[in-house]
Amino acid sequence: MRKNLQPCGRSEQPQDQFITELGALLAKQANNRQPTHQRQAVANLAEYVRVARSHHNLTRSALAQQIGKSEVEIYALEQGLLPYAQLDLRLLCTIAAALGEEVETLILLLGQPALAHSLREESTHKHGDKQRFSLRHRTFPKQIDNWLRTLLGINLLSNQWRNLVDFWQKGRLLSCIRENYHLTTSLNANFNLGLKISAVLLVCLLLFGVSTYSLSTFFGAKSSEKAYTTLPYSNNGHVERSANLSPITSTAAVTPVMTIAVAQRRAGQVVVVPVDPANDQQMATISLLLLPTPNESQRCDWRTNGRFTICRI
Amino acid sequence: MSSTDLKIVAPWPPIASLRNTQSFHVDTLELLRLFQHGVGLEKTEAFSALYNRYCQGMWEYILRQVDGAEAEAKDIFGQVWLVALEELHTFHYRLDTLADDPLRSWLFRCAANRIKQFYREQHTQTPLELVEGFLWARLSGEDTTLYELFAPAVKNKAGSLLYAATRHLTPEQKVILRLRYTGSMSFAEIGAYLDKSEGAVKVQHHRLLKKLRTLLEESACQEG
Repeated sequence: MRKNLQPCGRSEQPQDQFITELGALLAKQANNRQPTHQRQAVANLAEYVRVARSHHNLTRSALAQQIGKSEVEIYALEQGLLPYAQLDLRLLCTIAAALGEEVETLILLLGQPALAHSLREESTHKHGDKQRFSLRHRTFPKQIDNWLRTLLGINLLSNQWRNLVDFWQKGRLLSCIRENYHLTTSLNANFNLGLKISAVLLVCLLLFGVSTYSLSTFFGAKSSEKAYTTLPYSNNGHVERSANLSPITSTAAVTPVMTIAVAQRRAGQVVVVPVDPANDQQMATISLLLLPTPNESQRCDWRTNGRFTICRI
Repeated sequence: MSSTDLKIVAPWPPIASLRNTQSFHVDTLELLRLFQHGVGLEKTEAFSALYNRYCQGMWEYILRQVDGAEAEAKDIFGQVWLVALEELHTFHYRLDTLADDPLRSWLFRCAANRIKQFYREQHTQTPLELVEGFLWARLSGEDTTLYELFAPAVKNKAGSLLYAATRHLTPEQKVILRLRYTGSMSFAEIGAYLDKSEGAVKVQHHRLLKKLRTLLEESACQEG
């Protein structure tokens, strides 16, 4: 009957071995009563190891093979049966490695904060830089292609940095700020320099535009003074008045002119013609100007105000 | 298979740690008295003899009850003997009962109760609210006896959920939650280890509880 209960392919030897070893452990426990705080610590560790093993879907035998112990010892560990003295650092490190846990947690659960503290300090001392970089990589598993992240002041409270603020390593935030300070400073300096250069360029451009406009206006006015004369087109009062006011028109001789589109001009507008009537080919035409000026009083001032356009061939 | 292979059998009954084989033939009542009042090696021998006397029958009974599931049978077997180790000190062997061997009856009753509990845990669906309540009570340092009494599966479920949720946290956050939950350590103790004030640990713990609630809700949505 007993053999019928066994699963296929399994011998009775492991079961018997299990029962024998468990009996031996229990018998040891019968005589060695541990202090309450040690029993509680072993029970805490037992619960944690059991949950971690189930989370990783490991059987007791698989875990036992990984850490080089028997199945009964794992069972005893999970039931809090192992004596406190047997749970040394080496065993805890092996268990932590097999379960992918931090040995620090196991030591703390076992109620040895001093040992955990010394281990932590030692590892920080030995692998301080390495640990810092590895922690940073865990904080930034994927670097986002965002140039703003280099500007710490701007990007400090973004999602990437949020867990950094809560992080346990003392002064890590400050160290990061310190590390990025030079980069930020140089970036700011570059930014200020660029801004200054841009401003200077803009001012130069404005000056250039203003000067060009002034010069062109000046030379245009000079050339128009030499090249053109103004003829009254018709007996329009304001044109005559304009001619009287302008020194050009007052001294200009009336020459044969090419009549240009006179009929197309409105009354009161001024037609300007070139002065070299001898050379017909060189004689060019015509320009005309004039902006419509509805106000009678303003019509005389259009040249002096510079509100004209010269068309030259 | 040769005839010599058939002769190789496991030694039975297994000798746990019995050095004095003469004690195996001692009366049960006498063994119990030795266990309860003896000291040192005498006590160990007495327990070994009792264990060797009942372990075979109990193992077969448990294995049959759980339909040959060996891992579960080992669990229950070990738990029954752990209870025996704790409670045999106060066991009263009554000669006036109908049972031939009251100790045997008591041990098998323990095994039967544990098997029932095993099936209850297997077939009972623990609601997430109950698990959360247990988890919060334990993280707040409150008494969780009622939860464990009326919903035995809640402890394992809560432990698994917490472990799965804390996998995504930073090492320090893991330390805080696990020490608080599994180690039942106070905020001051955790703060002393982490070089932080008690208030800082409390604040971080409060944030972690919020985060944990979100993670649990997400996991519940994924399961649902």
